[in-house]
Amino acid sequence: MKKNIIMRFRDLITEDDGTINDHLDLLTIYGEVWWGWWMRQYEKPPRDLFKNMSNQIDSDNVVKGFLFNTGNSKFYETKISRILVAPVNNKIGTPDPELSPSYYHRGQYPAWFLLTNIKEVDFTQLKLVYDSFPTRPDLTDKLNSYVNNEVRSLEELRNIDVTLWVVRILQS
Amino acid sequence: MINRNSTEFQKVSAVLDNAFATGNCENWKKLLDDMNKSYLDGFLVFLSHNNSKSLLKDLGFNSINDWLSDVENWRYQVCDVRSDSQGSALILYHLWETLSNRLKQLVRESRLRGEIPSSGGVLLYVAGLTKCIILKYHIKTEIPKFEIIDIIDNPKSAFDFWGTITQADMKNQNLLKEILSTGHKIISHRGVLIHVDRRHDVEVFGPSIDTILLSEILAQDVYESEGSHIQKALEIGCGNGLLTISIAKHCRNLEELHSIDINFNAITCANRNLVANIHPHLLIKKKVYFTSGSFEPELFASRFDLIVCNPPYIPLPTAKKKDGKSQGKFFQAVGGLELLDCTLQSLDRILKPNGRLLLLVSNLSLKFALSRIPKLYTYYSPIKDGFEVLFDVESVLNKPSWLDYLKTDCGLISRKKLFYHKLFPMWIQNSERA
Repeated sequence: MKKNIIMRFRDLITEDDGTINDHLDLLTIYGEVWWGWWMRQYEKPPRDLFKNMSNQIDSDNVVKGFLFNTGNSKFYETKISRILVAPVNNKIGTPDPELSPSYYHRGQYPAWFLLTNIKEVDFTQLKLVYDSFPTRPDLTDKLNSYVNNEVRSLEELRNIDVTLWVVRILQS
Repeated sequence: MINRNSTEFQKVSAVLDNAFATGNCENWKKLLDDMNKSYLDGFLVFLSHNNSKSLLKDLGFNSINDWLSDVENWRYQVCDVRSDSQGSALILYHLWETLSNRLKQLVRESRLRGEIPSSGGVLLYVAGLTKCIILKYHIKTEIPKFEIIDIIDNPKSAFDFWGTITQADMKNQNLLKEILSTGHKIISHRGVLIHVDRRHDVEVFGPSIDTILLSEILAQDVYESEGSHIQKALEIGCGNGLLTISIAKHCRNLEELHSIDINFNAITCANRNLVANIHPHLLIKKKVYFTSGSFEPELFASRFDLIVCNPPYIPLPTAKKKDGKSQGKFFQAVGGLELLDCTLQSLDRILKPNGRLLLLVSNLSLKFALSRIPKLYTYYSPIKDGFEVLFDVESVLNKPSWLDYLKTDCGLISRKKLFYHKLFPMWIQNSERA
């Protein structure tokens, strides 16, 4: 079964919903937009996962992913068409400033995802199952109890201290 | 390639050695990233290393120019997580990332101040002045997007485009012509961005290869060697301000910098470039004073650790000497040897006993300059055989008698309908210090 990622974000720099709206504006103009994945200091970029996703993109053109605004509990479905990952222990600036909202421009991130679609979805209509938490290998034991269990609520998701969850879609 | 093998160059080379040997590029990245050392020329260090050619070959490139021409695609490949580009490839990755990010910030700052247009070209000089990378930029958002148009090897003038235009493909020919026609001259060297707006900066000199050469010597002989000793500095004839800004930015313990030019527009231009290059809070401790007017040694109450001067160095035939001053400030920035002489004769008054003067002289006036160095002073040229550049001073080329005089009496070099001369940067200091 295919694996999908959920990326955590909040409107910390923008006004409410500004992060998504800024991305949507560029999507409307250009048809694609870069999403910078930030991670917490204690997380590790899951290079193997990104490799598999890149291979999947090569065969299917896009992979489905999700964006989770933990500030207002809004959940979005997205399509990822390219992944760029900074070399080990590095971060990189936006691959294309014109295809990324301005608040990103001076920042550097461990990975960038080229998105071709973002739409808000009703989380309760989805059936997602936890697959893994590759950014926190240090918490494998603690988080193991979630694996293969359904994601019961956005509240539960929020309380798991990661910025990237790997899930499988049972129903969408 | 100008390589003075400075103290810092040796240190960075050792770090690069280690990166090649271990594949761990962390320290190499840290050094290049260091904002306090934006004068470092990573290309010079890389290209001087024995393993540079083999690394480029391993990555499938015949030369550094080959790699540069494809660097944006290559960068994407490195960031494709499946490529596993690690180890030595990251030496080049960090080299480009650091340089291009820094340049993006400089262009961004200039654009935010409304000084440069939203699209145009930047000439980036690297590798000990052996490479001029021509970049087209455009800014639709906040950060510029760059595209490398061409690379000029061993540039002979600041805007040495002509050979490039004729050799470039049609698309690049048009882009180069576009850049030339904007009226904006933008160059970057050793962490400084200089912009001259030909429409408004009336009669402002440069950016010329002369000042870029002096900037290179300053970087290698001062910032990379003894920059911490400079507390007071002076530039005589600052033009667009490249050297003034370079000193203000890179001399760590600088307290006071004076900059003088006869042309008020030059002072305005230099001041504008200063503010675009250095954050105001960094200028609180480093006081920079601009003066518009003729250089007079009496203007300065104190003496300086470092003086730089790129004076007019084209000798005038006797008849011209009489009407030189009536021909405007730009003419005075080009012809005659009075400022050169005045600077040399003022050394006792303006240079500290252990201070140094960096003076640019051409082979056209070398004999004169050497004859005018005061007795107690000694000199040496960091480039013994001189640095050959194009002689493209229009105000001289338009005057056949002056041109003839330079050819027959002063050693102007003529080759294939073009003229060349040799630049000699000279360090002049009190002989007791030497």
